[in-house]
Formats: sequence, structure tokens, C-alpha cells
Amino acid sequence: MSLRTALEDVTEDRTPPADLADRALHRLARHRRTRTRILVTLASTAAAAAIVAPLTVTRPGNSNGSASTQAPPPAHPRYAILSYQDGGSWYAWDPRAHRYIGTGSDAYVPSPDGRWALTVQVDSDHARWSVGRWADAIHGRGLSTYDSMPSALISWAPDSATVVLIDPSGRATTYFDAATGMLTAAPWQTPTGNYTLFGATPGRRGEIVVASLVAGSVRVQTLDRRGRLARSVTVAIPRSPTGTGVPALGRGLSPLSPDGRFLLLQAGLLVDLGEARATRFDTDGPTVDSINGWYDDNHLIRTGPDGSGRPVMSVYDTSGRPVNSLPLTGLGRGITDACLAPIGPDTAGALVF
Amino acid sequence: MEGTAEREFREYVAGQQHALYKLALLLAGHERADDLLQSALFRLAQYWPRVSRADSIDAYVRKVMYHEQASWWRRRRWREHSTAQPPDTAAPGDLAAGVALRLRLRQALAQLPPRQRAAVVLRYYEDLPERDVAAIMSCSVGTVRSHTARALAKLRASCPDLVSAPEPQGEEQRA
Repeated sequence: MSLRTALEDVTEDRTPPADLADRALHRLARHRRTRTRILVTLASTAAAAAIVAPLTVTRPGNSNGSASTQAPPPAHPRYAILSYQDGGSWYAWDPRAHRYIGTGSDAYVPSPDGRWALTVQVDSDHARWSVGRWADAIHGRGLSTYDSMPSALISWAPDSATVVLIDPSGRATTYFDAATGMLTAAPWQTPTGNYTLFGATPGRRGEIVVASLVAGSVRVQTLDRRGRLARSVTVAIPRSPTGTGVPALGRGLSPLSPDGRFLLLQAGLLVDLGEARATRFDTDGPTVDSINGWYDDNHLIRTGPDGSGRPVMSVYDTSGRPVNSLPLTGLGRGITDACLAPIGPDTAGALVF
Repeated sequence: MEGTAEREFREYVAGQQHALYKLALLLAGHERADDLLQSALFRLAQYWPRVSRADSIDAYVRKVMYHEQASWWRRRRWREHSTAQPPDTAAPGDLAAGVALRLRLRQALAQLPPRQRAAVVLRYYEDLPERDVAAIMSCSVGTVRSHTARALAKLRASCPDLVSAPEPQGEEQRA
């Protein structure tokens, strides 16, 4: 069989959705409404050229009609942008040179507390992961490294205490312990079942959270360091998911909120592990895919172009409503990811949010 | 988008949706094809007044789909991992063998890095000349050749019953 015929065969069992144009136009309309709201909000602030304090808007209730009880982000900057991706290249804040520099890495992600850097170099058959203190790692010093297949799974725990890295075989796990600065290999046995692996829980226990979408519900299981089931929560979902159960965040960022309570799934669902319920997470315009980090326990961030193509960072509450937005002035126009860390002595001069 | 522009956009989508969906399936796989095509059409709707005046709307959509997929893959691949793989054991008979080949090819495509996957799909399925593939992927013709050769080697290693594909039309033939 020729390659072209075989490629034709691969596609023959599927037909496109019937309402493609309607969905695109509907999404465009929502996107433009959101842009208008954000622009109106921005016009009400005295923003500096490159430093904009978060803006608080009056938020309507959640999608289920109840009033929101979440506190909005504080009205002063708390975080600095430590690294970002622009045009496929990663740039990181150099605290000694006081500027962003190109890293040459395929990912360059700070720990949630900003003290550590997780980097990766990937080719088609191999990946080299490195962890080191931020100020040293950016100059290639003091790194603990680990080699794996490119498709290995990795995640910071929300409290920065550990990194968990799981081989594609699902049979070995490597932990980074921030207390010792060491990478440690540990045996791990994948339980049976069809699920997607993702986050490490806070608390240095080295637990891993996995989830699967099953028959109108999402099942979230917490596994200990040896892959044994520690806890399981099954939550009914409010609609048929349009995506998959995989987490919505990538590149080592934690899909769990800093307090470990919320979990964002690509299917447009936010799972509240504390109350064992799932709610819809529908941003007006950007898809769940484009969410790239947690701002705090109740807010997420998105980095990317706004309706006019300007790069912005936006904050959404857990129902997907925009809360505030920051133009990313001076960082390039092709930004697709940006990583935040708390403001500290090493972030002086970095873009803050 | 209003009036004539919306009508033209709808007509374009209606006319091209099957071809674009097949391309999305090959670039992104069955699980993500819907999302990829929807994202590309959203971008197309966003810039329709400008894009519709350009020489090739198709080229714009292909380029958007390629870059959306490459960007998504960069962000996703660190984390996604399904542990339950569908069995690919062939049942007796030619039909079953064809199904098995299709499954193996689908899995082999899924294992390719996005640039290799895009290169082989755009060259061998879309039948585009290397020059056009290079424009879509924002790289040189030499890079396209390199990606295509590596992708073909991997596909043939996974699916040895694929015969050597005839070279798609070259630059000269399509000029």
C-alpha cells in the first residue's frame, strides 16, 4: 500500500462536525466581548508603561448562578515574570544581569516559589532534565540532571517541595527534593486502567494525582510513591466534555492549585477535590488549552495575543471569567507562555503582575 | 463579522471542511483534530477580512494549523500519557490487515515529532511542493527534506508493509 493511500485510510472513518462555521463565529463574538471588557477595565487605571497593577472588576456570579465567594487578586503586584516562551524559544530572568536572556532550552520553568529552575533539552529520541537554583541554573551551574525519553511526564508540586518525573513506561519515577537539591529515582508501578498522569501533590509526600473521564464522571486518584492508591474521588461532571481528561497545564507547571484543592482538566472542567464536584471552566475567547498557570488558589493566568495581536497576560477566576489583564510590553509579540514567581530580591527589574 | 464577510466565511468553511478536517486528523490525531480545526477556523474568522483578500486562504489555514499544533505539542508533551494502548493485533484476512496497517500508521504518526509529522503529511498527503511546505513551516527547503526523510524512515520502520511512496510532484512539475 502506498503511503498516500495509507494516509487517506487513516482519515476515512471520521467526518467533520456539522457546525464548524457557527462555532468559530460564536467563539469570535465571545472573544470580542471579552476584549471590550478588558479594554474598558484597562482604561480606568493609571498604568505605568511596563508595570500594571492588577485590576479588580465587579464579577458576576458563577456559571451556576450562585454568587462568587472568591477574593479577587490583591491590588498590588505580587508576582514577577521569571520566564516566558516567544516564538518557540524560552527566555529567563537573569537576576545578575537584570534582564531576560535566551536560554536555548526547550522549557525553562521556575518552581512555584521561584527559587528553582526546571529546564529541559529535547531531541527526537532523548530528553535531559535539569533542576538547579534559579540564579545558578541560568548560567548552567549547579544542575542535577536526569535523562529520559522525550515523552516523560513531569510536574512541580504546588509548594515547590518536589518535582516528580515519570518515565514513559510508567514503571519508574524520579523525584527532586528541594530540601536536599537531589534527584532520587524510585520504583513505581502503574496501576491498570486508562488514565492520564499529571501532578504532584503538595507536602513532600511525593504523591501523584491521576485522573480519567468515565461514564459521565471524572475519577481523580491519588497514588503514593510506589503507585499504590491512597485516595480516590469520583465527581459527576456537569456536561459531556468536549476535550480529554488530560490536565490543561503543561511543561512542568502544576495543574493543581497552590492549595491542592482545584484541578484543571483540558475538557473544560475544574474539579474541586475538597468538595468533590466539577464545574465548567469556559473562558470567553481563549480555550482551556491556552491557560498556562495558577495565579493563586482561586485564579489562573493565560498568556498570549489579545484580539489585536498584542501579547497580554490575563487572570481568570475559577469560573473562567476575566478579572484583570497586563500588556506584556517589551517582551516580544509571539509570547505563548509566561511563568510567574513571587516578587523577591532576585526579581528586581523583572516585569511584575 | 457581518453580512458579506460572514457569508463568504461560511461558504469557505462549507467547501473546505472535509479537506481541512482530514488534514487536522493527520496533523493532530483523532483525539485533538476537532480542537485543532476549531482553533484554526477561529483564527481565520478573526482575520477573515484581511486573509480573504490574500492569494491563498488555504495556505493561511494550513500555516495556522501547523503552528497551532506545534505550539500545542510543545506545551503538552511533557505531561500527557495514556497507559492503556488499543491492541493492534491483526485479524485474519486482507480487510483486517488493512485495518491493522491503519492502526499502526496512526500510532506511528502519533510518535513523530510535530515538524516531522507535518512535513510528511504536507508532502505526501497534501502533495505540496517542498517550497510551499517550507513556507508553511517557516523553515528552509533543506530542513523540510531532512524532516521528511526522518519521518519516512520511522514510518517504514513501524509499518514495513508500506511500499516506497512515489515522490510527490516536485517544484518544477508544479510550477
